[in-house]
Amino acid sequence: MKRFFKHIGLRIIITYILLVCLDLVFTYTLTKNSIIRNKIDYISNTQNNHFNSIFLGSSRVEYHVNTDLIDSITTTKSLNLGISGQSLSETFLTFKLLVANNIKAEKYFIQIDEKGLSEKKYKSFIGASSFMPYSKNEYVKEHLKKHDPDYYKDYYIPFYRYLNYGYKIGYREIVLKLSGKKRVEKFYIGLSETIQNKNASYYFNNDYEINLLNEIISFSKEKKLNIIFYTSPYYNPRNTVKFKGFCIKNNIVSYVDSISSKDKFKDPEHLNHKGANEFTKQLIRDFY
Amino acid sequence: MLFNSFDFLLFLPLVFILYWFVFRKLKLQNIFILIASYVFYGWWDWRFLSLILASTFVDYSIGLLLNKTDKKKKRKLLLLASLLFNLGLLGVFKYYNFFIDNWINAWSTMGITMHKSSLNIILPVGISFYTFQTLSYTIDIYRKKLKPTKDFIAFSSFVSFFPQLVAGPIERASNLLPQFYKKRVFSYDLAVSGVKLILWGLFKKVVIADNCAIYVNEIFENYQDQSGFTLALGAIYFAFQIYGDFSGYSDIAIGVARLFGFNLMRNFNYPYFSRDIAEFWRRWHISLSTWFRDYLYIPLGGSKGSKYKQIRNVFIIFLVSGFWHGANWTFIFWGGLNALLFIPLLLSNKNRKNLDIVAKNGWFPSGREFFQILLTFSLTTIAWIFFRAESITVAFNYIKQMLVFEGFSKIDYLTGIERYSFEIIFLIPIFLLFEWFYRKNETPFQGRLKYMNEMIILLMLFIFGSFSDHTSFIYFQF
Repeated sequence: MKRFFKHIGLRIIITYILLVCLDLVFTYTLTKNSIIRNKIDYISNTQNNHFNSIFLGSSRVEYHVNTDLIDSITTTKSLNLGISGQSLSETFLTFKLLVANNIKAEKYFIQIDEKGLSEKKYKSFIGASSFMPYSKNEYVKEHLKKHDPDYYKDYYIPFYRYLNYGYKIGYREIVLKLSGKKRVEKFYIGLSETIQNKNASYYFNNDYEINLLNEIISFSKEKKLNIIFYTSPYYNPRNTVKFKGFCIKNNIVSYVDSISSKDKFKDPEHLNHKGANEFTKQLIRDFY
Repeated sequence: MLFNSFDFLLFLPLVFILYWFVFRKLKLQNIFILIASYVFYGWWDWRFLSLILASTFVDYSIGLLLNKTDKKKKRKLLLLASLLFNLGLLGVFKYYNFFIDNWINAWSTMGITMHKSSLNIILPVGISFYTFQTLSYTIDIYRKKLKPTKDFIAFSSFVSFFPQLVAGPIERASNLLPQFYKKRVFSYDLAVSGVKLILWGLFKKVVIADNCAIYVNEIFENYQDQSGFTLALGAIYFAFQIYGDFSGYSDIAIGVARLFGFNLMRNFNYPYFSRDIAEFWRRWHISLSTWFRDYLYIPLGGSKGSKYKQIRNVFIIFLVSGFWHGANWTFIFWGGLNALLFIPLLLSNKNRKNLDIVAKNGWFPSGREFFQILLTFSLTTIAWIFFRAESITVAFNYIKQMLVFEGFSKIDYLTGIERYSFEIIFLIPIFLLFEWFYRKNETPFQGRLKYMNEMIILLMLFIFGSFSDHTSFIYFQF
């Protein structure tokens, strides 16, 4: 048995060293490289920048807010930092990183997903992945410690985060980063498809969690930042009474049913390019 | 609990330490294995433990009753009770909806509409494996090849032994049960060989199978939009996915069992180096093939009797084997197709021609052997399309489209999608090289290059391993 433990012990040590080395190589490649592969890379590689408005949130920002259109109509400078798959917790972390890197805006628009408020979990697997290479950053570390149930494993076990989020930040991403392939050319992505089923709908929940929203409000008050919460349109929204009440109570500007035409949606949760332009014009009308 | 999960990474060392250092007496070790096995299974869904318990209790009791009587009629009745109970469990949990749906479809073709009353039944993980294991126990006692055990704990541990509970190898009572009677003495060599098998099995699962799965799912789900070349790649990738997945699981299971001093039977023996279909079936899922051979094929007459009977018997075991895999016509068709590929060998008495490993005394196969291996692999790969496709029609359409060559300009799949790119093209050849050069061994961690191979596999496991998708093992569904 002693001999066996020696055998296993040696392999555990080798494995540990291997994992530490891999962690260093992966982290170095993903964070110390000027190639912008995602919007978190952009924030991490940018400092002291100023915008008139910055839009934060999930795919319902990335696909919905045409910042080029805003810039051309209003002659202001805006930035779409919507990231597909982000939950409200990761949006909050993106917001914190912006502040940390002194990327300022007169107005920060934070899109609130109805689904994100009704789910009890604070983490989206896809949304969290782009932060993982930066987990030693003190803002990221502090935030994940509080909101990520996998924090201790991700932080303390070398290379665990690259195994856990492998399909987003694994070797494929390393190869693409090293080959210099940029992912983000434009920060707003317009979708071309149109919803097929006209009877499709989006059904709202009834219970909403407010803690994270309050944390964001406290943070922005402390940093004296002007934030605007809003919810962008859904196709054929159902059971919206409670959510609309929630929006009024918490100063969330609701655009839940501001667009109804089928040809402006890609699916019940996402506008296509045509819908995004119409929605962007509604935002310009109300805030510029 | 999955072998490739963080939970298992904590579970295994804990159970190992308690087993060897705390529960050192045989009886205590058996009780501890039983508890650990139930925890392992209950991690997935504790409610279905009741099925394992019921199966254990029924076959334990029938085993004892069989031993008490020599009356033929009574013995037959007892065997029938065991068969009805175990196959009944399978029938309800695995095949109920299949039979109901087909019954309704049959009537609807005659213009009679029937109300559909399919039940939303969850398939309990591993049910096909442990029911076959307990059945073998009762049948062996009925045949007087085995004495029944009075030790209920040992028998329960045999039925639910966690390394092989959910996806085999399907152990015979004559091999595994006696190992629960004898005091296990820790063996360094056995344990180290177990660790090597676990590492090799993990490599097959998370590097080969799970990476292939990404392509396979994408290609099979959108087969209408793919070129013939891509579809051929999809079929080849599935061949490696299912092999890596299932043989990987078996290797880990055998390896884990060795850590506790148990020897399980080998389940795969380099099947893709087979020179004909008969050899393939001697090397693929050996525990199931031999189960069907001993408990179905031979009782039916095996290869004795007229040619008609021989052909009938081959068809029966392949069709039943196909149906064992799942409640879908695709599996039955897959079984039938394999029977069709096997029968010419049987009729020409060539089904036991290639018994030894290919190129036993050489580095490389002869040209003839290479061609035979390639042909056998191609035929099994085509059969795998039926196994993977949603329906027989889809499988035929897939093959039809696969055979259309649309020019090299259509070969764009590999560069088309970022995530679904390049790596598998070199991972499979590396895997095959390891398998080929170590085909006389269990793992590539033997000989002069064993340390180097261990390092390469470990590195590839971490870099290329697909841990994040948390894919479960394919054979869990069977």
